[in-house]
Amino acid sequence: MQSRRPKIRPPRKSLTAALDFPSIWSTLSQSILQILNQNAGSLSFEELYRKGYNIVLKKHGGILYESIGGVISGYLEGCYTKLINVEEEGDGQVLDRVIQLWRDFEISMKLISDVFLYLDKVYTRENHLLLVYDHGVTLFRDLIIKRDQGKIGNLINEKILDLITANRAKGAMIDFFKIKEVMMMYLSLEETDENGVLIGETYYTLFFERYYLDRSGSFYEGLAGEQFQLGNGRAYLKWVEGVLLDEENKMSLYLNAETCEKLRMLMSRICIVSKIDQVLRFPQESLRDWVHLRKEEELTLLYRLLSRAGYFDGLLVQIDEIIKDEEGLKSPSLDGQGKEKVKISQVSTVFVTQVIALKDKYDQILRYLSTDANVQKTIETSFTSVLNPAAAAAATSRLSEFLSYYIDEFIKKSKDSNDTEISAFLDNAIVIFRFIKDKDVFEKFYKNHLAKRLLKAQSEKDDDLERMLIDRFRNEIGSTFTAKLEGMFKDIHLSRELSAKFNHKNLHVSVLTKTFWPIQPTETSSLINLPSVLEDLQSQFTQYYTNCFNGRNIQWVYNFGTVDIRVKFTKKLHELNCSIYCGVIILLFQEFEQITYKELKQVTQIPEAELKRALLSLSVAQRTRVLLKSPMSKEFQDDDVFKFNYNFTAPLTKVKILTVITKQDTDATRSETLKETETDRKYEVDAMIVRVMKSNKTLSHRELIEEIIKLSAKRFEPSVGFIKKRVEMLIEREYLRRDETDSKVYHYLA
Amino acid sequence: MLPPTPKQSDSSQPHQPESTTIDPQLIEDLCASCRTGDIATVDKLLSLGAPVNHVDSFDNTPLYLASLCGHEDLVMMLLQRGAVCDSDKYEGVRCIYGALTDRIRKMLLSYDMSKAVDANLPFAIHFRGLVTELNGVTQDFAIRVGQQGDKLVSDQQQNSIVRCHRFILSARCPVFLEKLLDDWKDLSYIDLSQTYKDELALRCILDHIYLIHDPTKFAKVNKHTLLEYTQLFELKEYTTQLQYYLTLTNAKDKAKFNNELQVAIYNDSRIDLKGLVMQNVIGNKLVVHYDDEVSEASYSEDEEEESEPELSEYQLSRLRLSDSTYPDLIISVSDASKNQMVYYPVHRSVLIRLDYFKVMFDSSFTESQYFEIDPHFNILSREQSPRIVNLPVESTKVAEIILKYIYFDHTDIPLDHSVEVLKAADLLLNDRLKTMAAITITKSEDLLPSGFDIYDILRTAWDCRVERLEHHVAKIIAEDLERFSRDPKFLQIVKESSERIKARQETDTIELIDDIRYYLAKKWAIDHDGLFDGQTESEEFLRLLPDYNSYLEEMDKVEALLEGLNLDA
Repeated sequence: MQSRRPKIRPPRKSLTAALDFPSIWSTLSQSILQILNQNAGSLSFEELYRKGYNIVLKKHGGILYESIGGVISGYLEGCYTKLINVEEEGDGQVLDRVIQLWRDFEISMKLISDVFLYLDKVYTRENHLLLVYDHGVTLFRDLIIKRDQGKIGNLINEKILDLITANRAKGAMIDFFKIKEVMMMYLSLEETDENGVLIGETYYTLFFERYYLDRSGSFYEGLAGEQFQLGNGRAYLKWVEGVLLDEENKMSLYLNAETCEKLRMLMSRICIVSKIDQVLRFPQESLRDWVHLRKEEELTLLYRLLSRAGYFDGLLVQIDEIIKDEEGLKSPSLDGQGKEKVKISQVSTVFVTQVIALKDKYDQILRYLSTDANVQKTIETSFTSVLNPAAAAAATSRLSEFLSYYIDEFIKKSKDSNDTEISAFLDNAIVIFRFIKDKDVFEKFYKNHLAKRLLKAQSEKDDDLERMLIDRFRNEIGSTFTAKLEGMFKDIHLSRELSAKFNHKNLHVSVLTKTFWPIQPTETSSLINLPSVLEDLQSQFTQYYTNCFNGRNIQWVYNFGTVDIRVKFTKKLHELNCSIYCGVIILLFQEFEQITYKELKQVTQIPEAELKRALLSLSVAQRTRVLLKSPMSKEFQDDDVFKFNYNFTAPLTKVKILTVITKQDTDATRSETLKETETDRKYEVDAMIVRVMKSNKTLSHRELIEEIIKLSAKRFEPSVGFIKKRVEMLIEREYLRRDETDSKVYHYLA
Repeated sequence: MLPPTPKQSDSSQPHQPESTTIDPQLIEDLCASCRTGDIATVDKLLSLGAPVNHVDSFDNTPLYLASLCGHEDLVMMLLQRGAVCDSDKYEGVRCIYGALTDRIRKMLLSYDMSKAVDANLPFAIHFRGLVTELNGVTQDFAIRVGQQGDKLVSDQQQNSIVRCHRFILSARCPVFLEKLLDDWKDLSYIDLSQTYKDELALRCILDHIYLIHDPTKFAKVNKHTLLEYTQLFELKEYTTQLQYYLTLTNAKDKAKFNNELQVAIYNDSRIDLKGLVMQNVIGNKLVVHYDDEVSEASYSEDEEEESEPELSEYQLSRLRLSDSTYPDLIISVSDASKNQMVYYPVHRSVLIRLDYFKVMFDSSFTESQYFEIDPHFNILSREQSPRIVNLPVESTKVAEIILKYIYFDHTDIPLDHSVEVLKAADLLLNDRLKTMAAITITKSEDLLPSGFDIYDILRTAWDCRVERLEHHVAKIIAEDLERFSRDPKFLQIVKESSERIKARQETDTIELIDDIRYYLAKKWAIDHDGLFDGQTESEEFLRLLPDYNSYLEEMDKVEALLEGLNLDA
């Protein structure tokens, strides 16, 4: 029976049977070709797998592996020839054909690698070869795409870029999915090193991408050039944004993320970075127009594009230029034009308001530019540098002065201001304050103004605004700046209490700490001969004060003091409010009918400048001629004679005799203030140098200069020359010494 | 069944649904392997049903031993397989304090009892995965469980139709078994949503059948409805567990329940699947002798001799319609020794646990083109007869071992078939089965599978790349070098070993010889590496060892042998 029907027979024992490789291989190679020709459905996996398994088990893995490669190579060679023929016939379908070939090949390779799973598992891995699938893919790479110096690959690349360029230039409809498919193929074609090991780079990354970027670059280079020629900034920006968006939408359809990023960078460089600086300077529709007309749309668009390119340098430079051209930031001239007299307080208010308006304008521009931190910084430095012209610093920069006058003017008139006005004022003051480089100069001016205001102020209530302002200053640059100012407030406060305690209805004294105040007693001022009424009061207070505060020394300064004198004139009784000097002079006429200028000098001992000023107020100023001067002139001679004018009239009972201020006086105070600042700076810098050297012991010249500039930045900007001079001085005074070998190094001398 | 009452001796093992008679040797072996960190053997023993939470004769749990000895991977595996580390109990605390490294301690602590066990044995993972489509369409029955667009439960965007496998439904649930044989015999779709209104509970039932326990679903479901359903579906184990759950009041116990339920489901399903294999797969096998008339109808004289065996329609339908197996595939095994061809009705969804079949059915070769899909429910069409595929093994014994392995992780491989199983597993691309077979051999000491000598084993080890087995052989030879050194076959194999190496990488070592030397040192208790950090003075110390001379003698024997072969190593 068995011999009659051996239909189902057992498989032979595999352990012992010999292997007939050629015959098994001939079936296998036929099957591989069938698979490559999309005919797998008719093949049995079991049969093929077991053939492969047996071969491997019999240690023929090596020859099997090579043979598989051989069959695939043969197949691919055939495909290549066909492709080339088709192309040479001008078929034009080479792209589609390669895509189709790859599609089929990839599927086939998957099946082939399934069949030879055991080979991969046992032989391929142990011998560090490419897996069957990867091996097939590298063969495809070498025998199709890269064969003959990459003939097919180059052809496809060219065709793809032709398609893409047509789409970019004319909006031609193209099949992005087809391109995507090629990209996927390229990404699968991994490159190998000389040992046949995969290196993680693909045909895509090594060949296609470079070609793609080259062609894309030159295409956009040309287009951007054309747009640039049109010379319209707005139009150019619009074009760039359009092109970028368009490309952005398309690139993700077929490129991988890394190339997308590279294309973005490339386009940014070509369309934005390389041209934008010139675009912004176009005669029409350019940055200057947008800034001055506050064009939101254009500026936000510009910012979008620049942030895409990450390039802001050009914008910053141009913004700086534009700000520096703003007329409103130039310090106004104080020389009167023609006959009109220019009042510094008015000029100050106008100028400060103007600067504030410009600052607002640029704040708005800044918002359009997305409140970019660098733009903000540029705006601030530009403002600062325009407002503080570097040349001969203090001589031309009157910003400190202007601000001080602006503040003075506002506070004097602040009685009727409402809260909004006040807070706007405070904000403005701080804005300008920030722009001031030489804060010490400002401090001087401000202190003078503040001193006058404080001495005139009647009650605590008036101080509120002053205090708010000082708080702001302190928040801005710290309490060292405001310490003295606060001291001034304290003095005034204490003086009020003291006067209240002294309780004399006719005397109000402000006791000021010498170091806080800009007012200094001079030697002559205390030698003035006071009339007995005043002298009495003075000595009473002096005694009271020294009783209260043992050991304190009190010195009298009359400059800012006033007296009220009631005088019965022929027509009416008037109450004269005048400076102490004027008071002293008026009271003299209780004793004298008339008196000469020379006698006045001798009797009163008032310093001549003050005396002259007082006499100008009393005898020359038209509304307050309490004295009669002969001859009547502005000049004073020793034998000029003064008489009391009993016929003096005035519309009101109270008459305020203002102290005349001459222009020479103001100029003199100003230059004096500046000179004081100069001296103060010397001390400050000296102190700083000594402090720095004491803690560092040894520093190079450069380090020292840097350190000093850093330390003084909040208050003023000393020039290097200035610091050098101070260092020389300190060396002379043996605080420092130069290093014996390196003259650029300083040592601290304890 | 009653809710379990924890006993003092094995308090950490609350449920023992299988027979309580556990071979104490199994526990001893398990614990011994946990000491040495032999993860493959532990895997096998657990698959054989070794209880993971029992103690050995020294009152140590496997988890404690693995933690103490610092086998991190093993600790992880034990935890995943349901080993309990309850910090409230003595055993758990011991594990945590005894852990060799902080990483293990952290692992133990993170595996709190309340955490669901997410991976039991590999077969359980496989069955759970079958509900999804990851393995291709293998389902053959569609069940509507809810109304479409029902907002209440469809928040997980689940389809209201669940696609199942008839054989799993039948194996796991008596009600399905009965209905599918009877009322639903000719249906491929059934709407259960009318009868069982609570969709979530119904889904839990189906999940349970597929060995899935989803703690979030379980937390949401109405337990009383679920209990009602489990009773309706006659899911006894689930019912017992639920009733037990409902007696729990303490939140911590409830949290622990998730873990316990997983273990219970796993044990329960294993019994069901074992039943399926024994009764329906193996029980329904069709044996055809070579000299039998295969079938009057299908046979024709002029068929080629080597053609695939063909079964008659009658035989096919017998295989296909036999009770509740619902095969979509039939495997044929040719058993040369018995001169017969055997057919088993099987399931593609399970067969693909072997990579060989997975690749076969995933590729577009002829084998995969057979299955028709019913497009309406995207399930397999019932109309076609199952296809026959050959299982390349040499005997029905081996075939059945493999079937038991893939259906319920049965890993008890008899020594006499171990080499065949090993080779088959290598061919079928399943490394775990390979390891299991190798363990059988290595654990059998010097007993060998009948029909194979030690050299066959070594060659098999080489062919199938099983290092464990190579070492085993070297050890056996070292133990009895005296005898082997006189065996000409031994010389032959040494030569083969040397050729193996030279062909590969041109080095001077012969693996087999190196291994033998290593085991010689072990045999005579000579430790070259450990004692003196490789210092030269160790030579003097070694001389003091009692067996040093025996060791040297045997080492010389090896040298002589190599010289005789003209080999240098």
